[in-house]
Amino acid sequence: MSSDTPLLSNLNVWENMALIKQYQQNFSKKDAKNLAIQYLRQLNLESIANTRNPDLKEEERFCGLLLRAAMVNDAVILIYKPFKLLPAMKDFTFIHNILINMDTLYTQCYIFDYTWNKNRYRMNDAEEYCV
Amino acid sequence: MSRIIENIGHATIDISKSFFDTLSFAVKMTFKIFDKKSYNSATTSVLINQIYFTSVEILPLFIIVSVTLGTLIMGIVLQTIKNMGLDQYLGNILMGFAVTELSPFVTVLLLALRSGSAINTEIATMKVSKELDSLKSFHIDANIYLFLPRIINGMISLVLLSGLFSIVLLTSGFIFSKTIFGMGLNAYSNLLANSVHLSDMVILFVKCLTFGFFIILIPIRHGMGASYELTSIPISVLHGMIRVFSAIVMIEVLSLIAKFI
Repeated sequence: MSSDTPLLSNLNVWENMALIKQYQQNFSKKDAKNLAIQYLRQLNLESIANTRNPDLKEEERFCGLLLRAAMVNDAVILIYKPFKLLPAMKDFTFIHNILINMDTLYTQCYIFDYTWNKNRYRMNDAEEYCV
Repeated sequence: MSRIIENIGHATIDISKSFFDTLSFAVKMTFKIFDKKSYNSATTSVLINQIYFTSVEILPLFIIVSVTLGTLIMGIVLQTIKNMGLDQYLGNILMGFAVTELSPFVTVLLLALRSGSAINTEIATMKVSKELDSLKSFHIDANIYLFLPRIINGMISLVLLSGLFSIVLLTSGFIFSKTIFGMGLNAYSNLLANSVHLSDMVILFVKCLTFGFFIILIPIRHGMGASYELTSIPISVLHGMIRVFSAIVMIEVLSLIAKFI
């Protein structure tokens, strides 16, 4: 997920999430919706289920993108430049907490970012992970 | 002089290329329509929504236009028939002109103006806002998820709305036949039944399907042709709509040729 893979603006959050299951595994709309709502509930975000992309706050949009990525079977989530989606965030705490709260929904998660953002991740050994 | 010839050559190449691109996209989408794998829960949901947006939401406007235009045209046509003493051709004129020509033509114009332009803008906006890239990143084929339901909806809507327009025209025709010629319901029904030819109905059905297919396919293709800049949206809609109206004229001409062969 990145700023180059936005939520579809003609669908609300649960429809964006349900679309993955409906298209890839032919889930019925009802089953896909239930699953999407269940995922949103895990992050206490049921309130944004019927909200469309332009009306979401940055944090809500970020969570919507993450949960949509988690809808893929055995999801391996790759987050590219998360602070571009959350420019007001000073550090990694919010992202870290969200990833912990939804750790049952994905198998692995990788974050790609520039090394000059290493302080936001509170990492001193960022160079070790440079690609 | 050579520059003029060069420009004509460039224009011809561009138009031919655009024409063949549209045709190859049309062939690709036709195969998708008949491919069982194209249909899943997501495409069905989109198809239902699209039918609602195109066929149901337009109904009040469509009925007002069809009643106003239909009554006016039928009144003029039937009065002219009476004045010219062409009473014996009444059935042929009602079926041949009103049902097989006027209904699909007015319907396709209304749908092209309303849905064709909306779909062109929608697809171009999705391209600019990278939503199409988003679909690609989840291995969702835009041809299947976005385009196929819209094209099928165009075909279904055109057939249904054209049928509705025909019913309105024939009802107006009955009212005017009664007023002008003093014709009863039985005589009017017999007149229509005797004037229906199966070949005309087949051509009408195929024409409606073709209209519906192309007035959605062409805007989609032009919407896809937009760049990642916002300014490309109006340009893509402009080009798309010009091509749609060219296609409508072309299909109308071809159907007339088919009818008279």
